[in-house]
Amino acid sequence: MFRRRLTWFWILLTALACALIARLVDIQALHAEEYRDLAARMLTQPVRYLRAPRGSILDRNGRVLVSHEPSFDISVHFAVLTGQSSEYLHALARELRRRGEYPESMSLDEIAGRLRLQIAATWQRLSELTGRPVSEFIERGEEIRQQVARIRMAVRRRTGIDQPVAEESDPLLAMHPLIEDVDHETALKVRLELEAYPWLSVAPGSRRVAHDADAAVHLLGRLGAVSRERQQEDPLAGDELRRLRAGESCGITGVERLAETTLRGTRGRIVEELDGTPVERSEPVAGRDVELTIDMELQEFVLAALRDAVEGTETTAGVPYASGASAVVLDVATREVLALVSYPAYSYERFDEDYDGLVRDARRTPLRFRAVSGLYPPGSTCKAITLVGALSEGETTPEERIHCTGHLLPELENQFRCWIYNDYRTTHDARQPEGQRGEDAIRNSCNIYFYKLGGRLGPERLCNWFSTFGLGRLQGTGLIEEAPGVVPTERWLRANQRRGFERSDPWNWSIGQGEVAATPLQIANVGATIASGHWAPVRLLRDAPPAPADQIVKLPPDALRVLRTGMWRVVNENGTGKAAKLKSDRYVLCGKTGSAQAVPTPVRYRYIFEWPDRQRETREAYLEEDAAASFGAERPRCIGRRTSARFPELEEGESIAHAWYMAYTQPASTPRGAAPQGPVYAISTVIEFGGSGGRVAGPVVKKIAEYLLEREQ
Amino acid sequence: MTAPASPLNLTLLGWGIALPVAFLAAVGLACIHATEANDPVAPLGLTTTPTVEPQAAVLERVIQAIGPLTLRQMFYLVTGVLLMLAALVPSYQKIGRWAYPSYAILLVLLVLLVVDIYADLPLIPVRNNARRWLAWGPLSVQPAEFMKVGLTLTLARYLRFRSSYRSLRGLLPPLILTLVPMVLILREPDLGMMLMLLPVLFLTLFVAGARLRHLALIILLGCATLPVFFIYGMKPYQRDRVLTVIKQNTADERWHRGPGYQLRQSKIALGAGGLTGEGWGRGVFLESRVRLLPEEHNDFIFAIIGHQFGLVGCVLVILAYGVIVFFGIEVATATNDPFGRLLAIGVVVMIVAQALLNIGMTVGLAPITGMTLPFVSAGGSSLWANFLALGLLVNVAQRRPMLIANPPFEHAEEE
Repeated sequence: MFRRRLTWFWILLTALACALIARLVDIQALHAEEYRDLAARMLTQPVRYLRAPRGSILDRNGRVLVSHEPSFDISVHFAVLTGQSSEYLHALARELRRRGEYPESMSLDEIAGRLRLQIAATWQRLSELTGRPVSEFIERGEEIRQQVARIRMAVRRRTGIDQPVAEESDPLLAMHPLIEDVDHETALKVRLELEAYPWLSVAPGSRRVAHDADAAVHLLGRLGAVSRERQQEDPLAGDELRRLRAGESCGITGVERLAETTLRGTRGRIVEELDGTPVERSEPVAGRDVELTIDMELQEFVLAALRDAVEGTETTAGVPYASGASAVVLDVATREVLALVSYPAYSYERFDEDYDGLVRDARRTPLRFRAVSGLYPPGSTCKAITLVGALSEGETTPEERIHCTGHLLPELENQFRCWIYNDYRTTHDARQPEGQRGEDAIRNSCNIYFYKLGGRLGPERLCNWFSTFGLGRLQGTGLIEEAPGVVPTERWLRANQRRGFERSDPWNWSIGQGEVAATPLQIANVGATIASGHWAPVRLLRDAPPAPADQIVKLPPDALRVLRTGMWRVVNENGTGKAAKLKSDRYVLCGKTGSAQAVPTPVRYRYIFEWPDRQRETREAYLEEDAAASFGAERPRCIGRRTSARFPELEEGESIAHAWYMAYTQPASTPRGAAPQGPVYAISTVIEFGGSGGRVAGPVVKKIAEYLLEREQ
Repeated sequence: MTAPASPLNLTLLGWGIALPVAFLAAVGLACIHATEANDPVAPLGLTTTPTVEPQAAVLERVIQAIGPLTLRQMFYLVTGVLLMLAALVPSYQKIGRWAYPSYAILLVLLVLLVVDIYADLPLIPVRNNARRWLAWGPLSVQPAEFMKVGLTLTLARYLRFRSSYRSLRGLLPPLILTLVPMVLILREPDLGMMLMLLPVLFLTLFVAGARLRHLALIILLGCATLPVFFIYGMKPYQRDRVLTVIKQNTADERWHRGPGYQLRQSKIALGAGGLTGEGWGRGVFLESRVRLLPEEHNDFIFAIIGHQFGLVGCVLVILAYGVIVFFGIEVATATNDPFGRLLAIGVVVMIVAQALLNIGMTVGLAPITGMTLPFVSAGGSSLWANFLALGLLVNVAQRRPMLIANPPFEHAEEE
């Protein structure tokens, strides 16, 4: 039996051995080719990419606004950077001794000791040359060490094997950038003195540089790190050489983001065998430049004009009431955006250093791109739309005269008043007892007239007309900052204020108060619409295709004729906008003022925090993180906030308004009410909390118009 | 009547065992040297292989030329052979008397390893989160490896004069004798080593004559607990290793770059070797500056053998083990001493089961368990334990006792 069992034992083992041999035959004979291919492919190193220079952004005249400049990165070997250098130093010591730099009699330990001293000296010298403290290097080293430790953990988790990753030892990848974006001079100095040390290298990189472009800093935008979301949305994700890669930068705001795929270049590609023999190499191709429709000189001029206006407004305690301003200039025929200005602006170069201060400037919010993101009640500029709407819907005629009664509702003396009654306790009827026609009402900007028209139109039709003129939707720049504004349709009211239409809505909206909100860009395009007779999307890039016909909205010419006549009279016949009347006798301005009553903006909040034991505390600050900063490691939850301070601070009964001015230029010879021909510019200006549109915004528009027209000659 | 070992048989038997082992050791040494000669690039980024300057100390030159791992392997081979020779001095019967005590000592050592998890004991380093070694300076031994030998001895000793194992209840003591160290080894953790004790147990019992249906029952019960063990008893990376076998032909590239990497690389290395291999020290896996196959000098050395020497080389290695098995079985057959028979079989199982498991792992027929290839892989304790076992086998071969009773283990079939 024993023997029999032994035989079975023998058979079992033989069977197992045969199974193994069969499998080996399968792998080594039947599929050998396949595996040989795979083996050959393993010979090549992972692909290396060469970065492509990013395209520049130019204005319409070819002036370079932002471009890529070569810069330098100072990199240090991982082992030295993180202080885990004994193995590395020993290997280095051996090599240096072999090369003859140290005598054969010195032991590796001694040489390593010398090298350590040299490393310490390197830090010192580097700090002196670059002006950065050694503590910064140590911090950065710690950052990198943690990054690599994370990579190593991830690899270990994936493969179950713990081994050093390439970032620690690979000759190329182990050099980590310690200081980036060093200028040429410093790089040269560092190179001359320190590059002899094998643990340090000065490698070329590149950085984005703005050339005197602070006037358009909001528009240009910035680059930031590539995020997972951007990679997923990337339209070029399928192109290996053009898609976004983690660790690189891409445009996150402004034109940098808008024109990302144009500006991004095609990266180069190097495939090498494991021993360095090149297999394939393609050179990087620079990204294409982007030409904006913006005229940078005009942009700078407008910014200066806005600055003067803001700093010169009525002050309280030396601080101008106005906290900011914005202006937009459009070429009406092509709808090209010639200027898209937001004040205050900030320095492109110093953005990173200044950021903490900029984000906490609650009063002036310099980071806000007011021209396309600033939402303001349009005020009396909306009266233009109300008039066109009423005329087109037949709710009034060009000849109908309506009386200004000072206050709309006879029983309510304190509400729905005309501004002239507010300020001067009189009515427009006092001067024009027969009542005002449409063009008169525009010239006078009579509230009562428009309350009545608004009432006749009703909220729904009024909203439709707002939309026809482009409010409530994007104007087509493509910028991510662009806000569509608010047209308070019933659906919007229900969603945002949980109510339906109310009786007072059309009265408020007809004069551009209440829930209606528009951006300076939208109002400029309204002006262009009035001048040309149709609404069209604007263009920001020179080579953007013209708008398809189905996006253009034509407006009834007869109604516009009345409006245009009124707008001419606003400026040239002693209307509310007379401050903008041009000196020139070749061109005139047609415009509409607006003084939109506004609520002061919050500049400080009282944040309410709740501890786990239900105790509550409050802290005052502008940003929540500042409010929570006084708490230590244990942070209570923030459950809400109340506004504790606003700007401007108003007295009881005091009110303030944003100063609006919407205008377009036309040749003086244009017949009254006709759509102007020739070079026609639409301009919109808003001065936040500036007060009277005519008085405060008017002079700015005049300056801009005169500058524009002067250049025409 | 005494049957002194006849010179012819001994010579044949001796050569039958020494030749294959020498062949395996030589192949192993050659591979280790080949993989070492082209180690990954030093952190300097040098494009030339580090050469040793002529002026350096002779010793350093020699070490560099041969390679530290190769030297280490040589050391363990030589000391292993010494160990083997030492095991030949006393008769295996005398050694048998030490079976239980040695088992006890090894058990204590294993317990100490487990205790170290809770109370830090000296001489027990923690490597990769595992406590498997007792270390003193540069030397370290794995008690678990020697436990294999100890278990073989103990089982042979226990079963030699009994027939109790013919009943189900009688199987319990051998089972417990095996399970206790298994549990301790599992705690280290060392899944692979733990599993190696099972074939020793079952095949020894099988050859001794335990009833098949009893064995089958135990095995079935064991298999029934497998799923539970798989889900609750295994760590994720251990589960991955089992899954790797199942998923090895999946098209999922990420699997092949993650948990399936090692097996994938192993198969590529084997396949690229083809029928006759790339040659000693040649081939992508040996010429590249980056280590393409993890554990290429121990667990996966068979893949490197296949890479360099092709199918021919692989089959020769398998045949070498086959020769050892053949002669081991010859010894068992020729010996009438029950202890000797079981010991011989136990040693054969110990060596061959591990070899089969290791080779199976490199071709994707068994999960990766960290078991080395006996006599071939780089290893310390593993080489010592295997040479010790070999010594015991030759010991049995040398001394065939008098035939004074019926040949043992001759039970009537299936009473």
